[in-house]
Amino acid sequence: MSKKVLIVDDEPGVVKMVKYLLEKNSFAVVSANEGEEGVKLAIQEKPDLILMDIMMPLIDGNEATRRLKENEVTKQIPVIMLSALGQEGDVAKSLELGAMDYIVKPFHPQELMDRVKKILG
Amino acid sequence: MPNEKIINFRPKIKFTLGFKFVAALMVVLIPLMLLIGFIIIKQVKQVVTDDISKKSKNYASFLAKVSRQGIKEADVAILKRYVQEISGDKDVLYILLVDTKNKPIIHSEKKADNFNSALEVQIPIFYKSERTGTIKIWYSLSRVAEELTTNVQQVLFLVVVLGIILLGLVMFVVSEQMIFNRIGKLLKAMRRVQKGDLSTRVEKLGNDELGYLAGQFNQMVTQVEENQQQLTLLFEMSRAVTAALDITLIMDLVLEMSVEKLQGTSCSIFLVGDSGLFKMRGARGLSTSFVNANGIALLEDMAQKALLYNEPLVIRDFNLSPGNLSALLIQEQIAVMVNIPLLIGDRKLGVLNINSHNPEAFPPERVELLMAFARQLAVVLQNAQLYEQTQQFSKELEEKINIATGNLARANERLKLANEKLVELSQAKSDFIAIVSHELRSPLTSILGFTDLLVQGEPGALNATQKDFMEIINQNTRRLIDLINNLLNLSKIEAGKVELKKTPLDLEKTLHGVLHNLRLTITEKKLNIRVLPPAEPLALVPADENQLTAILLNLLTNAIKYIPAQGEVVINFKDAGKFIEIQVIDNGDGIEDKDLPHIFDRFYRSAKAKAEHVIGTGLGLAISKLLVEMHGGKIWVESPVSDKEVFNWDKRDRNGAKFTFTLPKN
Repeated sequence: MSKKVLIVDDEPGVVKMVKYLLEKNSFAVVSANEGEEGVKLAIQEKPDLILMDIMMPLIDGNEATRRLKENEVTKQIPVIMLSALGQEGDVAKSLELGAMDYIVKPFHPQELMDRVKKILG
Repeated sequence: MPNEKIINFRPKIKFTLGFKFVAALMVVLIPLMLLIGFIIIKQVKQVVTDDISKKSKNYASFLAKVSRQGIKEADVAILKRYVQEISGDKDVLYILLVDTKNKPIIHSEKKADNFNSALEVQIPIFYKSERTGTIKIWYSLSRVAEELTTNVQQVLFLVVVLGIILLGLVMFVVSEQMIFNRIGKLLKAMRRVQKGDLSTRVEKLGNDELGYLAGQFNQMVTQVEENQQQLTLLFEMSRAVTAALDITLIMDLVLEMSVEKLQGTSCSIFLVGDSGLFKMRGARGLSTSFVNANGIALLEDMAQKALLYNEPLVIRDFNLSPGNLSALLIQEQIAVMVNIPLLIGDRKLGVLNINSHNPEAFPPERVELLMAFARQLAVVLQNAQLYEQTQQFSKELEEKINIATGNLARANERLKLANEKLVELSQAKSDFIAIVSHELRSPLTSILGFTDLLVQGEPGALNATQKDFMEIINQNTRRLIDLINNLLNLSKIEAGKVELKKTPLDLEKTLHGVLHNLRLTITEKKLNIRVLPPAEPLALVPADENQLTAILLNLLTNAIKYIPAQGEVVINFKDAGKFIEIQVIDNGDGIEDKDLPHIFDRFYRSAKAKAEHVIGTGLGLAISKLLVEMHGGKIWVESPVSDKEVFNWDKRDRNGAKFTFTLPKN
């Protein structure tokens, strides 16, 4: 059974591009376009990996990650941040909250797939 | 002058010290010597007389004893023989035996005609308690005289010795009383004066030289005391006025003191103003009637005279000089008028005028004192005038400063507001850049991702034209991403948000890391990159590895961009004392002179770069410069490269460009 990846991003183009990439590489994909929904979906779907944008309406990616890490069901799921915020402080903050990796937008598709495969084997 | 008086004064002394001394000696010594002589002579006479009378009594008793019977029984012959025998004594002048009826019985021969200076001794003769007669013997006193002569010589010698001793004693006593005692008093008084007690006076010491000396001493001390009082007065007055800096206050003090301390009945001060106007500036003790009768003009007239002649003007006894003016002064009861000019060198400041009812007031010495005071007063007044001017200046200055300060404060306020606005703007700019770059990055993510996929032919192969177009889109997307990244970096550095994390770095190692990242481009362009080995092993340099990498990457990317294929880039390290110099030298076309000054300006791109469509943002060198300067180093560029031969380049080759930056070793 293929591994399931959850994409949380408010940018439909990015969601579509990443979804295409992952599906092309035989991953199952679910997506949400804001943090709160992302957390709900994660609990519900229990994906193998979450790709999380940071700057989103309502609750941002960091807050969503914090909630996921507090939840017994989701705290083991690895999270990769995908964010246009590329400052050192931004990266450090997310990693501290429990994110496993951090990819600065924009990125080359190959770079993303390399990182995903590294985590999911 | 007072001293001369003392010296020239010759005293009339009735009894000089010498006279007194001799007189005292005479008075004491002569009676004393007479007394001693008299006592001694009397004593000697007594002794001799006693001796003689004793002898004569013996003779008489003997004769009386012999004669008892003799007289009765009239053995005259025996008596005669005894009388003869006794009269053999040379002292016996005459012996006479008488019976009770005083009838001579026997007598000796008379040895002298009269017995005035002889001693007569009478001894009664008794026989069986019945008086039978009397023996009379006259003794010569010439022996007494002889005895006396020898004795008196001795006595005189004794008297002289005694006299000398006495003289000494007397001298001592007299000196003690008459001289030393009084000199002592004088000395005591002198010492007291020396200690500063000028009220000391010597009591009357008599009418001789010492008395005169004491008188002179007293006179001198009085003089000194007066001088002292004058000096004290001068000092007090000077001190009072020098303590003040305000002209009005000084004049008040002077007028006050002129009346109180100098015994003036009235006084006034005239000053020469800035415009040369001579005017009364203050007065005391003048009557209203005097002022009403234009007395001020009179005083002014007199004062002006003193000022004209530069000398103190002292006028006494106005009765002698006729005229109205004098009448006015006499009416005001002014007996003496003193006008002292106030001068400093040639500068005439004014006149101090003091008047007195007392004709004896202001003797020459007091006028001298006034002159001394006037000199002080002139200096003080000048100081006060200068001070007043200074005050005026400083007041004006203060006003000007206040105005200027006010202006400055307002300007500051405006500046502060502007600065706050600027800070807000700067913050807004930073926020703007952050937001914009984020907002740009998000859409660029999908553009980059999809074009990457399309160029790779992931969704299906594109035809040649489609692929070419897609590659252009992809390339420009990357350019946009570079631009956004550089802009972000620049704004971060400018906002001071970049902090260097310095660690000791091996420059060569860092360089090789950068070259490794660039290896694809280098290979693609077939470039020759040479790292010249440093003459001596390089010291570790404290630097932020990420930022140093950014600097080297920028410089190398820049060099690579502008040299043609198969070009050469030389990297050279130099130890320059406190700094390490890193040079990146290319053998490209070089930089045109007009571009050199602007090469590190942000967004500056040379005309050539634009014309040749060299991809760049115009921010790389600007960022590098900021980063080098943050490290405490410098960066500069040279073109054409002057030391081409060093790199073995053909001199006719391209100009080349040499970028050098320094990093401090500490």
